[in-house]
Amino acid sequence: MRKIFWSLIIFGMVFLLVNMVPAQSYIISGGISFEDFSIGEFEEKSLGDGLDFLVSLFSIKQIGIVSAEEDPTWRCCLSADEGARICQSVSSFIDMLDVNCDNSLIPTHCDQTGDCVRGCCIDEADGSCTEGSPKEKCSTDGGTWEPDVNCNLEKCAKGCCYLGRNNYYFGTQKECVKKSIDLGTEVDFRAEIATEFECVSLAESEVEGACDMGGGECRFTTKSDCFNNLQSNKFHAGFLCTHEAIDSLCEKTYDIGCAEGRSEIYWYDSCGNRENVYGGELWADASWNNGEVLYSNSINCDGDDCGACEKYQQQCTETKLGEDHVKAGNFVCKSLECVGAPGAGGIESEPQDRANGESWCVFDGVIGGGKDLVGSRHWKFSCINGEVITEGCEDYRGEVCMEMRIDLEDAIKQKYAPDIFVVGSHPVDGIEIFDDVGNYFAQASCQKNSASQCLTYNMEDNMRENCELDSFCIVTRVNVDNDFEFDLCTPKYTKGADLTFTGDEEGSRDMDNAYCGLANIDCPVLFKKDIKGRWQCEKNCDCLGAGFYDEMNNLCVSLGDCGTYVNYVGEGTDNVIIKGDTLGMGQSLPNERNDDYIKTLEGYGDSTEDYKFEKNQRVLPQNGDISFAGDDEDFSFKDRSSEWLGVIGGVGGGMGGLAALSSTSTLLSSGLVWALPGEVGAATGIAQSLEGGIAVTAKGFALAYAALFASAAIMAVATYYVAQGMGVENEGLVEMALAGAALGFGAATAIAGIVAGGSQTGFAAAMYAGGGSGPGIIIAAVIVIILVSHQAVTQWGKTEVTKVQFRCQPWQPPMGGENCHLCHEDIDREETLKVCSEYRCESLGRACYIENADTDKPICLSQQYDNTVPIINQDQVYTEGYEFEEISRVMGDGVKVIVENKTGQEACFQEYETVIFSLNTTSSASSDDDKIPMYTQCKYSFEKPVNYETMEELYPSESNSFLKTHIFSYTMPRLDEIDPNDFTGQGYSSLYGNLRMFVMCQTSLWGIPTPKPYIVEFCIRPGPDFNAVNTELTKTIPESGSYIAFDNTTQRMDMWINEPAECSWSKEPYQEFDEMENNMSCVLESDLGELNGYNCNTEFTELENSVDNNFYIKCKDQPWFGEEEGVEESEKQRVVNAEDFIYTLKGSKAPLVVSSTSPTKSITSGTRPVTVDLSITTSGGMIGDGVSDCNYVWFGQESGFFESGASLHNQPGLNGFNVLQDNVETVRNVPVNCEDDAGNMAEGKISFNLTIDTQPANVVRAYNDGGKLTLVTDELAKCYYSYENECNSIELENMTTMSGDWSFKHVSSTWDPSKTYFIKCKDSYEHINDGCAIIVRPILF
Amino acid sequence: MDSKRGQVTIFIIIAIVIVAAVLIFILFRSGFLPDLPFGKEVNPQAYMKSCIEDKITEGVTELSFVGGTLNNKNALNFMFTDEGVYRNISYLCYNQNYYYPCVVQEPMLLRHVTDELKDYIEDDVKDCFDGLAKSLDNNYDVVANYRGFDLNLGSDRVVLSIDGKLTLSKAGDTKVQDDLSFLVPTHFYDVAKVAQEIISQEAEFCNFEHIGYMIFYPQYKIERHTTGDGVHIYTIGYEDSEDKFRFAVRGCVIPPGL
Repeated sequence: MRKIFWSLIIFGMVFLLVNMVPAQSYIISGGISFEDFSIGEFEEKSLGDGLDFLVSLFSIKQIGIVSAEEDPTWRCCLSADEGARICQSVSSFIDMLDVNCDNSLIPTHCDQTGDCVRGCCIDEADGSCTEGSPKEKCSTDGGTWEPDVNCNLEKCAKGCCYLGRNNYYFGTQKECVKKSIDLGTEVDFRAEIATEFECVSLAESEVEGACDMGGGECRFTTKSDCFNNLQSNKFHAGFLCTHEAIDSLCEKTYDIGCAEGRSEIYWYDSCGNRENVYGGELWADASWNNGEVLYSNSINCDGDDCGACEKYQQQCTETKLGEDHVKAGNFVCKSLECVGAPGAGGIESEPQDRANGESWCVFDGVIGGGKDLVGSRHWKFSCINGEVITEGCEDYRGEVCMEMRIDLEDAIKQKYAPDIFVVGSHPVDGIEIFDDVGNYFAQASCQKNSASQCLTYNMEDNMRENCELDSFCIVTRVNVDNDFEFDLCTPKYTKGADLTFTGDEEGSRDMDNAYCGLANIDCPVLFKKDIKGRWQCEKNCDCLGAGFYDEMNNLCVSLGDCGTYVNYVGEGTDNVIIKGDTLGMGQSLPNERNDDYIKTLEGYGDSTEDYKFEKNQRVLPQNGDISFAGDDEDFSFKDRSSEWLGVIGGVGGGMGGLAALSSTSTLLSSGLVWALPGEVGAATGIAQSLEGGIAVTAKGFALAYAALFASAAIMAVATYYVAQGMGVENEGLVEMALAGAALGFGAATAIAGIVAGGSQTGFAAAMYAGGGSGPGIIIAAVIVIILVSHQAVTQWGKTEVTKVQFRCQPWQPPMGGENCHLCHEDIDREETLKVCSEYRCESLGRACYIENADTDKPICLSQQYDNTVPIINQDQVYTEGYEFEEISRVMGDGVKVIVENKTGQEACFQEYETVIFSLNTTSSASSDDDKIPMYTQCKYSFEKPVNYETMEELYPSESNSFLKTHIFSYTMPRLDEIDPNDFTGQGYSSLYGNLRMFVMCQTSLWGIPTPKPYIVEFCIRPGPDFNAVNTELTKTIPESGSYIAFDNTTQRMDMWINEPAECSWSKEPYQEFDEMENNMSCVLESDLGELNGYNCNTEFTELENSVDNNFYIKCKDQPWFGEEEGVEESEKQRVVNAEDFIYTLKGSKAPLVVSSTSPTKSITSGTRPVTVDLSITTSGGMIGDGVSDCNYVWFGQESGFFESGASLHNQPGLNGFNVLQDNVETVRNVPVNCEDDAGNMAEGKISFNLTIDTQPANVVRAYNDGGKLTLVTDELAKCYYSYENECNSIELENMTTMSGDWSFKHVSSTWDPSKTYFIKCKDSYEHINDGCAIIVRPILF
Repeated sequence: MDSKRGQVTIFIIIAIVIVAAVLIFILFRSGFLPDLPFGKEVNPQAYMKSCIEDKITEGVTELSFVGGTLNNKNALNFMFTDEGVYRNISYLCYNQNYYYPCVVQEPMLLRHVTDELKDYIEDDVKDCFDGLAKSLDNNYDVVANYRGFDLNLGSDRVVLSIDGKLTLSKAGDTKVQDDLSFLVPTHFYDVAKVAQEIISQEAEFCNFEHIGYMIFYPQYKIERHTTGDGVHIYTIGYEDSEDKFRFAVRGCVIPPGL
């Protein structure tokens, strides 16, 4: 059993290793080589997709459509640094000045140049082939360059080369010749052996025996070695030299030893020949086996005294003095296992025995689920010959470690069939296939982390599907409240960020700010006033609780080194901000971190146990409708007051109708009266009263009641709408409608009393009496007063939507450097080393820095403690027309920002005006003349701060980054938001408010704050804003003038304007704002501006093909004036654009189609794998020229064409079809899809037939035709003949060429019956017959 | 009787002399004994080997640790602490951009390292040849014609062949020495071949599975060190020898941040 087990380990290991090289390589390159080995279950993701995303993110939108040949984003430097670097493509993302190119740059990618195009470089002297070699360099250095980048060439076809004495090499035929010559052996090249595994396995299967060299000399070797190298023709297969039948002087001995290239301990004869495997001392004679070969798997020994060492897991080793050894000599089977190797959590985790050749993943703590720790790295550990080798995957988690395990027990059950190997991934992926003590063989690999791709899926309709299919992405669900839940596709293994903050990398985290900011999402919370006038939360109330912090921070963290999180040793910092208004309802926002939550975070770095946490997070809730925060349209609150209005009106009218009808009929009992509209009843009552002189009868009273209730109903409705116009909402409207009803009832009664004038008859008298007369009027009045007063005091039903703002900032390391040493502490341990790195070091503390980074053992040191305080200085005012004026106040020094050369109110900002200015920080240790810039982090507030720590998180534009210069962008508030004590001047015309901004900063390393706040003062003056929305500053997506897809009739447009405003659009020009029929959805609050301004969006409809669809937009600014009382007056202050902002969407000319594909017919290849060039053309589309970007699907992997972005799309040099049967034509379909900038999409398929021909031509007929030898071959070929047997030579130069150039028919110039014609043929793929194609003896004809 | 004994003695002596002469002839022909054409003077072959062998070994060692190119500007200055010295390790495959596979910098690596080694020993070979001529000059009229040399790397060896001729004359007797060549055992070629395989795969796949390679070919010990900025440094060793080859690769590097 043990033997079977180990055999399986060996088999499994070798099987894997054979396939791992191409398999892993495939994963990264996006190419494919193996159809016969399913790697689908293994983690797969090509680099290409992420690459395409990044390239497109940074370039395509900016450069528009260009052909590949003229692509301005790439330049090629043929040679840089005086020839030291060759063929380096320079992208526009790299500063051109950094490229020290020897010559001028060529305006295209290097692969497009004649000199740098990559192909196969063949060293003719050595026979080696180097893939991906630049053409010019190869040729200049004396190589032969061929355009096949993957060297799928006959010359480069590899086979097995036997070099004698069980020595095999897998290489090209020429390499074999060279090595054989060097080693003095006959060339023995076996082209039919196509894999390295088969080749190296030959050493095991080679038949050995005694080579009788004569004269009593004998050598135990292979037949080939005996014949070719030892020049003997007496080979006795399966015999030892000591066999009695061999005429040899060699005698068996009791000497043992190791053998080159073998793992077992062997007996040796007196001539030094290896004999059989040592099977234990008592087995001396038995293992001699009467002088015949006994194969090692027939040796049945076990225990310490056994020489049958397990291949790959044990190795014959000579022992030193005092060491245990087998009884026959100083040798032992030394185990190559790694006993007690580190577990998945590194050296702290539970050790585990590992087989030789095994590799496994080791982590620093929690991984996956968007929770990789800051500074953490993935590690690949391997066991090689008893030694554990550590290798770090690419830092910053540019690579992640993936582990595949083979269940050996299953393999045993299934009798070694390779396809039953259960291939799974690491338990962290939630697929726990194996228990930890089970018998499995692990193989790990570092794979490129394509995390960047994940966010792009969020822009696609089938986000969830795509995200879940991508093994590097996960769907992150944020579920705070019913109206605040959404899914986002985020990286599964977050990328690390550049934590460097000093030196030349100033601002290096700008990009981090940008991507952390993707989680800056606001939760709209609906408040409503209750009957007592207190604000009560109605919707999204959980956004005010701790759950909001946790959920949003999880999202923030999942973007990679953002938010409140911990480094890999479990030390964390807080990097999120939550702001919002709770309308004084006594509830604080969840700014404080939840202790339990933080404890969970801190535990992530401790042990491997924690990473199972991630597994529990994989099952995502599948709720129904999802509304996305910040989208006001989705966040609608249904006002139910109108339903109450209906009730009131219905009751009033119904009562009237009831009364009227009951006077004339008996329908009362039918109940149908309730269905009659009140107005009908009221009208009937009035009509009947007008018939005149109706006495106070029952009928008269009925009609009078009808009129009273009708009055109540009418007044209720009227009051409702008036109140609504005054901003009363919900229950308030009900209250006011009731007040209106009471008013209507009372007023009608009072009027009727006046009209009746004390008369006891008549309709008015009936109404007066029905209304309760005088007391009724008083009661109605009281009701009105109570209801109106209550509404006025409590504003019952009033609603307010506030937004809880979540701000996700880049993760910042802890202050100081007390933990720096943890980075390199492994150096001092005997156990396996985890190398320190810059990223790892800097995550441990702001004062940590890497030393000896250019060695294999860098260390992490702490900067010396420095208590120098930072000084804040004025820097620059960027807003045109303003300047700094130095001030000195009791509470601190600072500046006042004023209008240049102005004083008093004229020097002030207008309300809502934005100012941009910068402050810088210098060291207090520097002099006034020579100020030393200092990196600091700054905050500001409008209350005088106690200290830096307790300041609210209001950061300058750069957020929480540490910089030398800090830029502030601030929009002035309305005057009524300023403390009345801060006003200067008298009367409206000269009044202005003063605002003080207090700025404090702390040093980057040790957090030393400025001693006093720095004051930046502004004054704000009232006054009308005469400027309309500046359409020149307006930005839109899609841009005006963009094309839309063919037959697309609707298109959403987002627009950012420079100030809050209401905007509308029309398809007709020159419309007044109020006449425009379509309103846009706009941000109206001044504090909700984004980077590009204030957002408005709409959906344009009825779009047409092939024309310019123009839309005319106008905006009306200062929307807050519309909300105030005295609307008409304040409305006058609002400014509307005089001119239309014209926005155009162009309709596509035609649908995009794939108009042609190539190849179309048959391809025949002479080598395996086949290299195929794909090509398609597209037509139609945006402007009808077919320009688009196209992808192809190659073995399930979608990739972009190498040349695309035009109407012709080319993809050269694809590899595949490795295992097609020779000479069997197979149909291949390659799906393609294209999309142009307008979103027109086309799909197609490249179909072609494929045949692989790896066999040389066969001669199918030979005959004498007119005195000439004539041959017919089964394929196009050239044939050669010789009268000598030259068939074992691969060179054809010495043979005579037959007629016919690449022909089926070949004719010799002679027909000589006395000769024998030795014929070889070469087909058009350079395949040459191994021996003779045919030997023709004319005499036999 | 005595004369018979004397004759036998003479015959024995003659036989011994003949046998000795034959033995000496055979030994000289086989090269087992130094070639001494004109007595016990300098053996040119042995002289040249002893003169240049150390330099070749030194050159091989120097080139081995710097990726086969001395003073390469496209190199990574790096130190393995157990060696205690910084070296400029050449990038044999390099791409300055992120994401993209590396571009092979020395597609003809074996020829390149051969040329580098030739350059390294060139002056010394000439000096040794001149030194040889000078050392022979004491006893002979020497005409030395040095045209250069050729160097070939092969499995487990470096073979140096002098393209030159020594014409030695003495007392009307002339000998021409024009086949000065010898080999120096080293696995430089073997490890460089593995390096070539690695860069070929790195250029195509962004990766080389060195663990698997070591299982197949246990005579090689391949170490890969990945630096903090994504550069792979490979060191290929050959079993039971000091022969190594070290080089750097930069390709498919993923930048920090999303």
